[in-house]
Amino acid sequence: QEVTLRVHHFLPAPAPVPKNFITPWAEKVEAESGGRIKVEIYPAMQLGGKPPALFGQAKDGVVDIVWTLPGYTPGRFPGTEAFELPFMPASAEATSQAAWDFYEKYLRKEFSDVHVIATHVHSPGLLHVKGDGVAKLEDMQGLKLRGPTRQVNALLSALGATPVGMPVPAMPEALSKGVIDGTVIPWEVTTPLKVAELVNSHTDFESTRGFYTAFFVFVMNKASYDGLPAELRQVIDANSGRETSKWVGRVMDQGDAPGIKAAEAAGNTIRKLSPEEVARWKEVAAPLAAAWIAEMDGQGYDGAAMVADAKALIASYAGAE
Amino acid sequence: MSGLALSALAFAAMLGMIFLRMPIGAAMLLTGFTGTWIVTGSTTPVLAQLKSLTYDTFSSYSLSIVPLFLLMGQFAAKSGMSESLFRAAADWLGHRKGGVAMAAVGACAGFGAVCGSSLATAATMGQVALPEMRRLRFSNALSTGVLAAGGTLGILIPPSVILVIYAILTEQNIIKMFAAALVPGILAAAGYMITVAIYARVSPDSAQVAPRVPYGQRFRNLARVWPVVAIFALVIGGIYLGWFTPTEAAAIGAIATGGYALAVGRLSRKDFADCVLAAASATAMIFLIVLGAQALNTFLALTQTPQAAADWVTQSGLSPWMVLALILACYLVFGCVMDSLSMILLTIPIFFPIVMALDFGLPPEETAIWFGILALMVVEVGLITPPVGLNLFIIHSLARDIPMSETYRGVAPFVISDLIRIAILAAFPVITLGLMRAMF
Amino acid sequence: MRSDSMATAGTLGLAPALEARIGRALGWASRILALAGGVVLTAVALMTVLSIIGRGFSFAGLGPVPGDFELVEAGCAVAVFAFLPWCQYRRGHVTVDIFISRFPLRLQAGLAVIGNAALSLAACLIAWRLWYGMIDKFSYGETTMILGMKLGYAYAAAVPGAAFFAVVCLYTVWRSVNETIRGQEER
Ligand code: NA
Ligand code: NA
Repeated sequence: QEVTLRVHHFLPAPAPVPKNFITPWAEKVEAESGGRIKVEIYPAMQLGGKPPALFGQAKDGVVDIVWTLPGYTPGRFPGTEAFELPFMPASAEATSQAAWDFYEKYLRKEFSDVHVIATHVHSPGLLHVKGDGVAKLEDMQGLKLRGPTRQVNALLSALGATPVGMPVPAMPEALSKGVIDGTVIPWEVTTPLKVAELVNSHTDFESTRGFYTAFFVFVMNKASYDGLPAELRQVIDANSGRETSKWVGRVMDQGDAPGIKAAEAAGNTIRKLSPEEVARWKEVAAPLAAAWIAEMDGQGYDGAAMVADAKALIASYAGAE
Repeated sequence: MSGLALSALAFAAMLGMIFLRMPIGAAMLLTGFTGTWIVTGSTTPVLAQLKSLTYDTFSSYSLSIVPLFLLMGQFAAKSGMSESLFRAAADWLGHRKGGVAMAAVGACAGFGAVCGSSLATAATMGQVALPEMRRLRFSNALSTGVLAAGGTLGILIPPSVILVIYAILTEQNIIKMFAAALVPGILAAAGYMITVAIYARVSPDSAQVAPRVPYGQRFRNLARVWPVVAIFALVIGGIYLGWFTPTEAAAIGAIATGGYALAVGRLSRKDFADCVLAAASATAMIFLIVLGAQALNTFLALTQTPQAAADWVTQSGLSPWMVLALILACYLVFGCVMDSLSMILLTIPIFFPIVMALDFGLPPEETAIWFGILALMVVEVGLITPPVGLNLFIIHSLARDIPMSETYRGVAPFVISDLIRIAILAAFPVITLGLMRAMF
Repeated sequence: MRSDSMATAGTLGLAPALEARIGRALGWASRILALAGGVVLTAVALMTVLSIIGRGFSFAGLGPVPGDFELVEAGCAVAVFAFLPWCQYRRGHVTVDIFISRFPLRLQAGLAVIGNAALSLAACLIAWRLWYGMIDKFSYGETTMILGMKLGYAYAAAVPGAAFFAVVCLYTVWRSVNETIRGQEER
């Protein structure tokens, strides 16, 4: 063994992505390198800092590799928000492949400080609310909801809810104290946070495209990558890109089942809003995409083309499902 | 060098620096930085991480409870709540043998319900109760001993700054920790009162009797403790009734206590400055050590020491109870020379994984909470064990004419009471966990 | 005790009169900074109470203060940075004195020089890196989640506390050098 790569992330080791992607990925890399690479994984922010610091840690070489969300640092990766606009995502497996193509076309500049191994999304998120829950658009009025990203918070505001920002670990307590009435996350994340026990209803959307998703990246320090001998760099390359992104996406999709099961076991209401109702939501959400396009145009991008491309890419992979 | 050997060496070096009087936070920071530098072979990780680590640590939502509870304690001390608590307790208990000392314990427990720090409780109640006991000719040993011990109730009874920090370090629910601390805290107060009673019997000259007070006055004075009751009910009750989060409760507590002090005319601009400056100093001291612990933990994680230590203990063949006894004994020894917060921050990253790897027949969350309460109890004993016991020093600073040796002698029976209580709580986890199980 | 050492303060040490004068100025400034931090902390507490009240009356159309969590985080951080210099000026950072309590007073004071120098090193590192952290936050345009407030400003508000902490630490090295020369510490 000649190289040690340290991987840092914010989830506990038994969560789906660390267990079914990061660990197997590390083992695969170790095996394919013939034992010349050793990968050490540090879960749950063991090496210090808050999750938003992860990207900087990879960029600056505190560690070699991190798994994180660009959305943790709003304003820094505006391009990734194309995938976080309302009603964009299909399954995580399909959308993650589209995310990789989109990264290659538009996001190389935003991520030029690091070497990107994979880009992916989680399976479409939904509403988890205390009490009777949300059966129609009007039910959103005045609800205090915790949203994960800037775009989701804007969406919640547009829908009439009050977005409340807080770190993920504070969410279960805030739910039980009524600081928030509910939260917006994918099924997969409800399991470790025991959200099913804290809310009474879950609202999903009957639509070919889910409510929203969040962008994730698995990135490596540039110098660590460039410093590898050519053969070892090839090992990393062979475990990067669209296929790897697809793998994480699939893991995220598969993570949903236990969350749904827990909600059923808790006797919660699980709703799917009808296509007619969803159409009303989409109408209210439409100005957000327009606002984002204007914002991107202001920064010298072609926002409209980015949204159109993101949609087309997602459609191309989702169609093949 | 293996990771474990490196961290053992680093710990030895750090303790050396600490015992040569380097500020504990500085020793932890420099050890952590140097260790990380050695393990990674480069200064880049340390320097790059430090760009955001300090701000990230200081801007923690859960840690913001700490300055708020400290401010609340300062306001409570200024507001005269301590006097009314002591007056009320002394009216009811003073006519018994040693009753005023028991009243001091009761008042400390009451003050502990609105103050998250032992030092503030000892200082505040000491100012009120010590002159009274000396006027009644209690022995110097008993009067200083009981107040130093009573001060620890500030942290044994929730709210409690150290419990907050333990909960954050080990990712436990603060509310459940507070619930678990309540019964042991009340047991501590009861144990101290029994100790006073025995003390008074064994050494009748130490403890005196105050004149009996008519019931009318007793009830009048009892009614004057309403602000303490109201604020405790609002802060702790509000958390349990699900009105707000612990951080919000601390904010409410600080504003309510400050507002009360203002309303009774005890919070002039100068008083406010005094409160802020005292809370500021304690806050800065705590956060610097927390930052040091972060730096140290990064280094320990890189060396894989916590896992290695846990593996080593589980393979050693020692029984879980034996390991627990050793850990608690370790705290008692360290407590003789170190303050409680530094001990918790230094040791929990190592001891906690060890304890969690052992089987005490409890679910993991209950093990974590129960061990947290036990650790809290043993480190708090450190506040009153010679030679370095911060509560002893605080009481000493209030009565410079009483030699330290008398205070050491006076506090000894209370230390014994602590040890008995800790043994009981370790043997019967249900005492700690019962209330929490009933509530959640 | 204080007046005794004040009397000797003018006679021994490295520029003792200047050290005393600078010490008074730094003490005054750290006090002001700590008080400012206290005002921020109190404001954070008040804002939180308002937010809870707003939440309680949401049926009446009120609501929580937008971004209350991030305001608590930023306010608390700025306050803590502002508290650091005062704590150091007042010798408030906790130390273990027991093993050296039998040492000669001059040696004890000499060890304080080392302790304060170590803390100075840590404080300078913290301030120096925080500055670069601030530049990072500004140059990447990172914002908070709800209010969209530039994180760089929060860092910028923390910088004076961190920088002043380093200055006060360096001053305390000088102070303890002079106390060592005089033979004992002023408590
Ligand atoms: Na308390
Ligand atoms: Na002690």
